[in-house]
Amino acid sequence: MNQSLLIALREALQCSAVLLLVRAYLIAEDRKRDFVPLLAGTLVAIAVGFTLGFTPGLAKKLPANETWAFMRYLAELCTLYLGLAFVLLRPREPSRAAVGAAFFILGFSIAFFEARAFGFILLDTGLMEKKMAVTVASGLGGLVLGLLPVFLARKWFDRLRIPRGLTVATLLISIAVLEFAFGSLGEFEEPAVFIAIERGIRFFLASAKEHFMAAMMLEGHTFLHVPFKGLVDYLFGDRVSMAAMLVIVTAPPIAALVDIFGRPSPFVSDMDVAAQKRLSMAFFRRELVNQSVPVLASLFVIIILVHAMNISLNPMYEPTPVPVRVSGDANVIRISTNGNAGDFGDGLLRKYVYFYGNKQITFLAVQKSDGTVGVALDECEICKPAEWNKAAQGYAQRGDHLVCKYCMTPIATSTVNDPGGCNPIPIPFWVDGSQISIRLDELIRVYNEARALNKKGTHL
Amino acid sequence: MLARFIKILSSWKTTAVLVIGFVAVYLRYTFGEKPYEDWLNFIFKSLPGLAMYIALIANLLAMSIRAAAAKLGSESIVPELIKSMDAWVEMPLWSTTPLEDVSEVAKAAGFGMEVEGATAAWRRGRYSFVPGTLFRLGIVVFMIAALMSAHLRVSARGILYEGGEKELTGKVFKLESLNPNLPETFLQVGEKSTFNLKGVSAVVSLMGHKYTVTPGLPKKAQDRYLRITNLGYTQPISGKTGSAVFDWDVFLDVLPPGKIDAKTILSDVDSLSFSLAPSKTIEKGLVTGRLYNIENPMYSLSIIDSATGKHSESAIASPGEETKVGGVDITLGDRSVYIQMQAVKDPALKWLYFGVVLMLEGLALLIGRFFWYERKLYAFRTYEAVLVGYSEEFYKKWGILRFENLRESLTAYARSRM
Repeated sequence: MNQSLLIALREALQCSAVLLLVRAYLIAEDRKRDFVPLLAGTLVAIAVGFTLGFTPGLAKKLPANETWAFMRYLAELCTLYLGLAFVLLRPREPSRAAVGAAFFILGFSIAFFEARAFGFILLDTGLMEKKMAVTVASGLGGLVLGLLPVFLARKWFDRLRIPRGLTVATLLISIAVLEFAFGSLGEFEEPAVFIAIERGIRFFLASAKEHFMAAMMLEGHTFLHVPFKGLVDYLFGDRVSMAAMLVIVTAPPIAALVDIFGRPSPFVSDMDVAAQKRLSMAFFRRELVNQSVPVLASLFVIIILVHAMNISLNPMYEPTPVPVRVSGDANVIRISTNGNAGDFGDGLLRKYVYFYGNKQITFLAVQKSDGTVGVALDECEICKPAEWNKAAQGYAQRGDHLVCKYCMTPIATSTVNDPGGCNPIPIPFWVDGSQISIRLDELIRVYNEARALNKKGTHL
Repeated sequence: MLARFIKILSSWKTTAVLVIGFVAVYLRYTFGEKPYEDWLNFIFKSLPGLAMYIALIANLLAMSIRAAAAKLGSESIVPELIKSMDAWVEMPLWSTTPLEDVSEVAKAAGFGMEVEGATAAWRRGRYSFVPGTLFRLGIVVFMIAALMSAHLRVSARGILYEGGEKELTGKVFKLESLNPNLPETFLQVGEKSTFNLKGVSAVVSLMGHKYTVTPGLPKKAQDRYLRITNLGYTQPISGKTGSAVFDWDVFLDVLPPGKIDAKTILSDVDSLSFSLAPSKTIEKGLVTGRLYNIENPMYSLSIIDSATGKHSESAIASPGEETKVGGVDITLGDRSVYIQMQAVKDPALKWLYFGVVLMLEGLALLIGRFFWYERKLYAFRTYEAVLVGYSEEFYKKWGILRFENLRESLTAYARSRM
């Protein structure tokens, strides 16, 4: 019950945020009356979407959830690019009816996909918990609660002196970016729109590369040297797909910014009164600031989302250190490369901890791409996180690199064992069959030497 | 009517609509199994696709012609033109030679205006259309060639060994000689193959003419294009299983080391699997190196059960040796090397290359467009006034600012002469 209430409340609050943003624009533009079709569109979308998702048996006749997600992505991108169209084409004010219809469609697109997904989840939860009435009641309750700000804050909003910052173009861009940020119902575990775009482009480029090379009679080969293969691999590769995705999602806000800042300054040299000149320039600058703030905010949100996406696609891997001790006979720590901690051949980072009195010596080991092993302390000669930030000490793994968690410097795994810089401090070791052996006195010596270093804090 | 049609045809909006159309069709096909292939089929094989494709070609061509004509043609400087520029000013006559005055002030501001009759003009960046036009032209050439290629290309691949002949795309090719450039040995460290072969070449004859074919760029042989697409061992194999005997030359695709190839040696016998076996395994710590004899390979042979897919116990044998594997007696003859050659009959292939080269050149030159753009300053004298106008292709904001400074200088100059 609580889950239904919370999901409904969260989604409705997100919807309210978008509605209030549009209302801010309408008030500033003195066209409050257009809020009615917008709200009507949203309420109709909630009713229709909810009915589609909630009606038992209808889900099987309707497209699968992936298709709905695809359509949602498309609707969000269309909103974003409609913003770009307004920047480039500057259409004239359409008729009253057309404006009403446009706001109705906008309102509909804001809530429809979420409402359908919510209806689907509510039905699913109700059936599973066998408490349909309670689930529906709590879900609808959450919905009403979440939409309350739109009705309650209306008067307060109307009294606010909202600066005329938004244009139709920047409003659409801001709505699209808010929709990107809110995403759909996380309960479906759909990937964010940016991931979907990047994957789509990557797939398209991979297919295009294959056909392009076939058309040029230059198909790749596993061992025969093919000219221009490196260039073509790059041009149709992952980096280009990532860059293309970035261009697609940032083009509208950047175009809007260019449009705003590209306007010529007012020509004031003809004005005789100095105050009039200053007033004119101040008005121009204030308008620049007001209009650029929403676009810059949108761009900022996009950058954050892309960064989050990048992290989610390349997560940092950091294993929990495994305690080790010396073997009985000798003063040596032995670590099996194919023992309980798995085979080193997987290339994953491994961390170990040796309890030395009341101290913990954490060190790492990793197999490099050439098959050799690197063993080093889980710290470098430079970085020294503050006491409150000790969790940032050491390294994690991302792809082919170790990453210093403090200064985020990527270290090529092949350079582990090389001393200096932000590389982990090497520990002498030897490989004996399938075992890595480290002399305890060497480990302690390296650890003590590291303690004696006058670390700078960071090399950045 | 015609002018309007040309304007629409050469508009960037038409390009945008057509590109959006292609994107929409592709997105529609993403619901299927092979979206890219279906999309290409739509473009090249369906009437609406072809119509859109040809419309895009026409649009890009018209756009290029229009851009070139607009920049290369001389503009007739009239008041309407000046009033349509980014910034303009109309100043009452202040002297008998106002255009010369404008030219003098403009020259001082860095615009070397030339006076001609009732007009004065300064224009830079006339040829700035070249990068974009070259790029678009490259796309157009590539698109036309791709369309031709999709409908006219005939392609075939076949295996050739020294002295052997093969009919491909209606022509008989003979492999006169082959330089596989195989190393004697190859050391593989780790699991990821690092085997790379450069300098492979073959001399192929066609109707008495000899051509050197490589795995690199396709070689033109009369009206065919030839390229080596694979290389492997030709292995004579003979033996017997029960009462049946066999004696074949099999073409083994076992390179790079690690690759497995399966061949059926008799129809009632399960497949025989081949892979290269290392002649030496070197272990140093965690590093495992496998040394393969490429010149005289050692094969790891096993019989694959067709019902279960399981491999029998393997046997190792080199060319010239006998062995028994899975109850089958096998004798390996001396190995040689074969190539797989692709022959293509395509009148558009060279145009595909030409289009790509044009595109890349245009793309490289497009970087210069940040600094290479059209700027023009025009002046026109009427009976009562002088009209001065200024336009910049890009960076209009700063262009207008520059013009306003010029206007101030002009006004001051005119006042001083009154």
